[in-house]
Amino acid sequence: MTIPRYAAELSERLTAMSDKPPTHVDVVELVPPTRDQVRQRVEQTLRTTAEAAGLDLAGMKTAETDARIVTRLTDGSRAVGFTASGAVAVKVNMEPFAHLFDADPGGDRLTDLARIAADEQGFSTLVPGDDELRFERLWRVKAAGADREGRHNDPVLCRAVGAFRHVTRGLPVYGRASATVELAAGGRLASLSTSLRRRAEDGSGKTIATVPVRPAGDAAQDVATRMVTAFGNPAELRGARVEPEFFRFGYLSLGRRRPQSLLAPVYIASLAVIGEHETSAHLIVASASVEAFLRIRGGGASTSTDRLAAPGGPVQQPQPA
Amino acid sequence: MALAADLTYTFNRSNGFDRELRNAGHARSFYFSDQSCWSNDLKDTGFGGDDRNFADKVDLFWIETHGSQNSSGQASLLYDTPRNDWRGVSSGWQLGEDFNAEWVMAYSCKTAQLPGIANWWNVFQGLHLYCGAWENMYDGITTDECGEDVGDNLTDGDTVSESWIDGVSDWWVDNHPIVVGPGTSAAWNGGNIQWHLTAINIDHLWGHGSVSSDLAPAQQGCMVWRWAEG
Repeated sequence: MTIPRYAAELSERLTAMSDKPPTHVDVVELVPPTRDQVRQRVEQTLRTTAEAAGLDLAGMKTAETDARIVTRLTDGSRAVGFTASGAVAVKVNMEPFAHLFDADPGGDRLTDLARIAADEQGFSTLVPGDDELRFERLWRVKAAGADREGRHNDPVLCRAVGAFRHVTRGLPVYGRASATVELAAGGRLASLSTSLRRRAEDGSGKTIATVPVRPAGDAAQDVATRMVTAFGNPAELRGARVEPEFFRFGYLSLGRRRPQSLLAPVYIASLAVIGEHETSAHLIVASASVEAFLRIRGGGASTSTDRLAAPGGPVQQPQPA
Repeated sequence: MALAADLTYTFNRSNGFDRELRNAGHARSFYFSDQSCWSNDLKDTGFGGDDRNFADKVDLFWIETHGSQNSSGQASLLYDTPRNDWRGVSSGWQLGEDFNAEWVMAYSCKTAQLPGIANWWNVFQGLHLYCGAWENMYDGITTDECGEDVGDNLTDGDTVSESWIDGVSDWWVDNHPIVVGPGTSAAWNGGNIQWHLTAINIDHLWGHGSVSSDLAPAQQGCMVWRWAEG
């Protein structure tokens, strides 16, 4: 099959920006948590958070569904456990504009505050001894406004979010942030989350296989081919262009509502499609082993009915008032 | 027409959002996709659209498509059919009015870029908040649960603004959520904004906390927005 020139160029650009992968990588067995273990994680996380955030646990109530375990405190704070993955999130009941920063103390200071909060929450003890939970990136939540005359106020810093990445066997486990702390002024904890596929002493970590890593160029071609399909197999891009942003190598953690039995190597491409008017942005995963151990789910399907074929014919278009 | 790439996880997000809200007891009024989703659903009835029967007939309207902002600072959404127009532009939106809309959520790139959103007065005719993006929003396996996350946040009792910003963020990929809405002159307060008076601070999904009053255009003294950047 001949791929279009734009796809070949995309493949080349992705390959050029690829991390240098190792020659072989372990496929690692995971041990999905039981519902009881998720309950325990929720309770344990809540207790640690309560101490740091001054929350009162008296009167807390828990409700469970298939997907989530939700424990609510009487002040409105809550902890959520995801039964499929064991991920946990705690949200302190705090209005969006309570405890604003007086001024942005700068990225270094905010990062320090995030690291301090992570230490207080014992993040480093959550993963096995040979693993790491590294600081990855700082986010800011800000607010601003303008009046009818177009006068703008100075933006205010509402929250800082420190995001951390789980590293196992020397490779990052990509996906949503492995852990986060959200901080208000003074380092006050507003929320935290953990989304870790391996936890200390959870019994995971057996090596299922040690597999040779596919060349980045092969995986890049997979990505390019998928973009061709997404465009509808055109020979030319007619005014659009594809900008690769990164092409990373590591493990992948699926979403918090998905069980996962192993960590397998993948390449992950981030791409922006810049059209004449619209832009779209895509994250595409390609297996980094010849045998694809991890099943990446495809897109869901619409549950919409055909509007024009609906009983009674097309929906009536009312006349303008 | 220039090419646009299909999004893969649109229905994971939109179905997840829909499911979580219905599981919490909320009713779905309509669900359209692909060639059954039309620009007139958001366009004001007075401009020849049909928002009275769709976006402006519901409390919360969720849409996912490719987006952009034109040179006038107006949002533009791309549709999969020219039945009305290929593109729906926010200069034709007037939401709230005598009808129902409180919140619009658009998982689309760049529809609410800074500083153009300061000029979105026409859109807010009683609408409380527009939840969109000031830059790119990513379609991928790490953002496929964003719809469920937003829905769960809303029904767990978070504010609408926090539900959006936290729900569409996996705190890894470069998503750029933003929430924008009008405030009163008292909220503007000469530029020393009284944030606690704004819908961004007050609004929850109906049944899950407080909701601010509709603000008619004459009551609007400022436009305020809250966003995440990394």
